[in-house]
Amino acid sequence: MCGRYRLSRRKQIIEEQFDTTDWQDDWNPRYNIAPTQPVPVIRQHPKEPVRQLSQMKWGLIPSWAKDSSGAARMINARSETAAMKPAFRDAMKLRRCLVPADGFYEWQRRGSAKQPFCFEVDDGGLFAFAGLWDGWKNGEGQWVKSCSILTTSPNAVTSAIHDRMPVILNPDSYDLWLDPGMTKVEAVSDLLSPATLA
Amino acid sequence: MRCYSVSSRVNHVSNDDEECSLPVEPADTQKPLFS
Repeated sequence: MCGRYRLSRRKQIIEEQFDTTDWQDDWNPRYNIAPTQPVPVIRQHPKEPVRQLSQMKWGLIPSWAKDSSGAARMINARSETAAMKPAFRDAMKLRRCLVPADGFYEWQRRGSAKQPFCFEVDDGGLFAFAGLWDGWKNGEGQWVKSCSILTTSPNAVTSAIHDRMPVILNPDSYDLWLDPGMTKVEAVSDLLSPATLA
Repeated sequence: MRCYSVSSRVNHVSNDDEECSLPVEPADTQKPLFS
């Protein structure tokens, strides 16, 4: 599970790193992003070769949901089963995104207490979680866009602390993961392995 | 990748500052104040 993360870079740095355009929202560095909060998400424009940054609610609300009450339980999607779950299977095929971050937190149980740990790539730089998104119309007829972060089995670093970790995509995989024309779930599922980033 | 222990400040959503991700000694390895 990934239930808290950090995105402490300024807006301009995020835009440059992920080569995005037209981010209208303000962004202040965040050190403790929590479920149901608005988070930056990167998507590929459906018709033009540009990546777009926008904000979505963290905790996916499926388009067919009756209400938004389940969002806090949908902050993560298991990569092994997402393509089969009603809440995520269409998104795996059609609505993939990147969720930029520069750290995430996991907790290790120690007796009755829990010790939090921060995980970073070795240079402390920006990276991207593999994400899924959906749109849901609320009672006022407004579209609410929301997202979920995919998880996988832990790598050597995270396994000492926790039994799952978020999927951190290799930058070489961004284009394929975001490609709206790529609807072969098997092809994109191959990208969802535990991070081997330095 | 690397990891390090951080303050339990991160447990509380209302805490959202740089201190949340600064390295600290794990709680159970801190030395006692008086020995």
